Order: sequence, then C-alpha cells, then structure tokens
Amino acid sequence: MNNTKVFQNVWALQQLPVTMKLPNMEWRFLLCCDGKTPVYQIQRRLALSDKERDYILNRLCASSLLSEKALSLEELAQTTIDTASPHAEPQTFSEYLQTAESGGHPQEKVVPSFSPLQKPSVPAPPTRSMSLQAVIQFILNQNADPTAGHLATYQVFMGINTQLLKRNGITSLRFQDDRLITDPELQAAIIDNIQKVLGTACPEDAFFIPASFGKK
Amino acid sequence: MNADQLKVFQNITLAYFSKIAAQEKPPVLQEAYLQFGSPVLLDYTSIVHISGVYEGCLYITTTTNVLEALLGQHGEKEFSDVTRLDMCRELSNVLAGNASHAFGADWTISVPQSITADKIFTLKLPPSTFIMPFTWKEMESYVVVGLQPKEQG
Repeated sequence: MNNTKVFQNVWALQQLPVTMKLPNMEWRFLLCCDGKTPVYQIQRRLALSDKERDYILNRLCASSLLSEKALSLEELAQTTIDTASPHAEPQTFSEYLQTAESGGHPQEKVVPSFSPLQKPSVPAPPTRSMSLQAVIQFILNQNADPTAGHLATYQVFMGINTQLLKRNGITSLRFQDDRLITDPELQAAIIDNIQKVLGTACPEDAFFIPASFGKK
Repeated sequence: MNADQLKVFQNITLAYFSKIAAQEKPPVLQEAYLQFGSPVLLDYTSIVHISGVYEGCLYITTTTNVLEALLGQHGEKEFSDVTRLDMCRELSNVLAGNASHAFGADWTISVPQSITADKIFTLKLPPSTFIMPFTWKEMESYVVVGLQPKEQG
C-alpha cells in the first residue's frame, strides 16, 4: 500500500459501543489515526511490520472505524504514542485506558496524554451503526445456559438471508465476533428476527450514531 | 430443538468415539460457531433429515483418516473405499439412533444417508448451519445442525 496515506476515525471514541473489543495494538493504531499522521509514521511508532500494518488497517477499515483522508505531507504532524506488545489480549477501550493508566507492561511507556480525537471532517454516514457483539451478548444474556444462548443466536441468524449476511462480509459467526453493521437492511433483519425468536426488542445500546450526526 | 436435547445429542455422539476407543483420549468438543452459505463438508458425511418446528438435517462430517482410525479400532486391517463407506454407514446408523433418542419426541427423523465427497452435490442443505467441531486423536470432525424455517423449504 501507499505508506503516505492518512486515515482518520469515522466515529468519536465516546460513541463506540462499550462492549466493542479490539486488540491493544488496534486501539493504539486507531488512536494514532488523527487525520494528520501518515501511515508510515504510525507504523514506525508502533513498530509494526508491513504485514501487521496492512492487517490492522484492513480490519479497522472493514469495521468502518477508519476511513482514508486526502492530506498533503506538509500537514502531517508527529504525535507521541508509545509502543506496546502487539500480542496482548483484546480489550475494551475502557480496559485499554486502565492498562495504560496502570503502566501496562513494566518496560513500556504509557500514552503520555490522551485527548479525544478531532471530530471527523468527512461527512459521517447518516445511519446509526449496530454492534454485532452487543447483539450477540444480548441474545446470550437472555439464556442462563450457554448452549441455549448459542441456539437462540442460531435461530436469530438462520432467519436472515445468507446473501444479505455475505454482502456485509459475514460468512461465519463466532460468538465472540464483533463488527459494526451499517447496512440498514441487515440491521432491520436482525431486529426483526430478535423480535420473532426472543419476543423482545433489540436493545438501544446495541446501536450508536456517528458523533457528527444530529449535532447542530 | 432445545439446549437440553442438543447437549444429549452431543454427549451420546461423542460417547460413541470414547467407547470405541476407550484407551484413547476422549473426543473434545470445540467452540461452536455459525456458518452461512457454505456448509462444512469433509470426505465422508453421515446425515439424517429432521422435521419439526423447523426442518433441516443433522450430520457428522469427517475425514478419511478418522474413518480409518475407527476401522482400526474395530480390528479392520483393510482400508479401502468399501470399508471406509461401511464405517461411514455405521456412523450414520449411530447418528440416526442418537437423533431419535435426543430429538425423537419432537422431531421426525429420516433414515440415515452416507455420502462421500464426490456425491456432496446431491445434498440439499439449509443455508445456515450450527457447527460443533470436535477433535478425536488430534483429528477434527464436525457435528452440524442445519435448520431453516419451514416456509423457506
């Protein structure tokens, strides 16, 4: 890929679902993407190989967390993000911050100062997003027995057209999977099937809207 | 199909492998997952069709190596297409018996079928499947539940 590309966050961090988990390095990569810093600088700071960089970028873009921004090199600014173990367990953003505050690995530096990312300058999608993991957890939590929860999840998703799932990149589903669903048709199908199978509505906290949407 | 029925079915199906090779480590059930559009199918598949609130199938799909290991446990020395298919048929009968035991009260269970990889195209499977992988003698096989609402059938 072109290493001088610049990426920015699609969503404000406080708008991300609290249940969303990312590996530590993906959180760090996400935080580094401030709409100014080119990929090669982030890669160098995080000590990533080309393969790791591409893998993380692909995942974050596929999850609609990052989008590419056109920017001149003169506008690029250096930030001071620490390095971290790329092999740490996935964490929620809250867990990630706690790790950073408590020092993380002894030999590692902590993010010196964290400030919220700037508001995206590109128009955000005018639809709310659905956290797949929040939906799965909601279904699982309706059942005391994990197997019953797995079966209920299967019942919900078996009623959804597989072409619609595939169109959204979902060809299989593990119960810890997470991704952001932005396709209104798939969101509607999931909501409809939760109602049919569980007899209850999909919870509002499975959704969030882009920070810039709805603000005057 | 409820969780208790499914667990009974899982347990008695895995128990077959434990009993047939008591000296070996028992099979270990791995984390289940859902598959959309492309059902997992290995070299040999034992399948029964089921019908109840939903309709679909239950199947065990496994590899040549697993069938040969099972044949070996039966004292069979000759491994050929014929003996492997015989073993697959035995698995099919076990599957049908287990399905009747676990789900017979609520579901109609068909006679079992034994399918080799080259005949897989003859199978009509539901588009969404519930996959339960298990390992036995470090080889992976899959117990699969495939259901769909009746109106889609």
